[in-house]
Amino acid sequence: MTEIRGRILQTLREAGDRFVSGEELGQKLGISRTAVWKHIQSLQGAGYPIEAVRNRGYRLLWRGEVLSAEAIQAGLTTRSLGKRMAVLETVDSTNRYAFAEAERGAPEGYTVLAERQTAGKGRRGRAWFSPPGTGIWMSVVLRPGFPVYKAPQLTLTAAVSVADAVRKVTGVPVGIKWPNDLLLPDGRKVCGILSELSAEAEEIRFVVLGIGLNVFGRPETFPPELRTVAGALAPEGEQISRIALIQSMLAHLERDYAVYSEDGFSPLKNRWERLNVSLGRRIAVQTSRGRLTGWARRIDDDGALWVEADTGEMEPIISADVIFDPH
Amino acid sequence: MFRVTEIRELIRLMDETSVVELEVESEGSRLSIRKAHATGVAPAVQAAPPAAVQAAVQQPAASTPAVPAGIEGPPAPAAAPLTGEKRGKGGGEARSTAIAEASLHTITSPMVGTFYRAPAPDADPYVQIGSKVTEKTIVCIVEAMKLMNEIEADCRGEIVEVLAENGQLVEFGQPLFRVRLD
Repeated sequence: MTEIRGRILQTLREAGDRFVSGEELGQKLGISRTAVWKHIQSLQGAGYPIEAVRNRGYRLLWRGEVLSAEAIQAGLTTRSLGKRMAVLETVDSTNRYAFAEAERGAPEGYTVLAERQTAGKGRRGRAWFSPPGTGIWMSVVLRPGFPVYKAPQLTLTAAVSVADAVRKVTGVPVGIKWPNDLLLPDGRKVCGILSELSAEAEEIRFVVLGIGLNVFGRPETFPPELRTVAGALAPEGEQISRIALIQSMLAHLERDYAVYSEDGFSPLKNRWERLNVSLGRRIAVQTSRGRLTGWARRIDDDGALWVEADTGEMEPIISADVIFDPH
Repeated sequence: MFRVTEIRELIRLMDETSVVELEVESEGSRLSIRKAHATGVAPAVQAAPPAAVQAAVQQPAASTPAVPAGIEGPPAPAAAPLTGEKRGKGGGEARSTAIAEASLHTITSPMVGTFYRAPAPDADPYVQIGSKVTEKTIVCIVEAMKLMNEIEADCRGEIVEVLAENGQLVEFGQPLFRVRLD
């Protein structure tokens, strides 16, 4: 099913402005016109802008690339990341899918991508808005040899990798907000990284690194509550290849993960600091226990954020929402 | 003295192998670890769960007063409950404590982070006092830097104590729950 829908999307994309008839699609895929119509309907239901005109056929109004494992792997320079890959049309959450696959033994580097998530995960039960074809919704399974207490800095490492890849492929000078959000120069959030870990006591079974990167979409395409805070790399439909971005992200991630595994966080800390837009700023920190305001001063070797609170105390922050320039 | 983390690592290594007894000597301290089911003689062993490992630290006479290994530093992960036992004078008291502790398992935090009892702020807690757990039951989340670590009970039994507050910062090795083992 999913594979057939992927091929329908691929065919429509290649056709550009031309309408493709149901008969042509059916012949190409070896299915009936009625079956084609049913697939088109479920693609439309999933949010794909497909125009259907009687006696002419179907046309895809959105021109972004359709993701496929073949296209991504064709230009992949990694040794293990993305070598095993599932590219789905729709999934509830790539993290949940990758986690379940890892529990069934998926190897290090196993990568899940989806055109659309119906229940993309954010921090503490929040959702990640992930409509079809507009972003990169990706989860990578890692099976590191280090113990659990070293895992959190891996999420800062991932922020460095993704920021480098985005800058290289798109030229958009994204910055890192502690611990691992990526922001556009105007401060809108363009990428979030949420990781989940499975461990046996202090030993890691696997980590799922979940990356949500908004590539296309004007502010008005976001839900109202996100319009002022979220953004995309190419809001005006600028030409960006999601496939090239994915390839670059996996390559950077693999290299930085190797550096972290061998040499620890310190070489990455310098790069994190160069890319960061958090330190030196006035912030509020919202933790589950309350709110703290002060100045973001530094990160330590464990990746914790040290805040000079208005009380004068230096406070280490391990997990929190950071708000810039609070009133 | 051996560090608790070193003892823990040795116990874990033993659990993964068929080795039933191990003696290590270092800087004047001697540590001997023996799998409980391998002996079946001492009362403390019979009280312990079958897979448990018994550790006994033997201090040389000249050294500083001995402390039972089980009560120093962060508690051992209860996958292998550590029954501290001091040989020689005064050993009897330590041994009876060990028997009482043997049926309780302490779930500890494997990392520094924020302790959450529920998957989301408005969701029900994973477990409460009285909840029955099995090895794979998720009992809480510890978060650091947007890394979510769902902690598994790693034992079978009933939650009898919750030792940390929701939203609290917990340290590496800090006790989070106590479980009465089935």
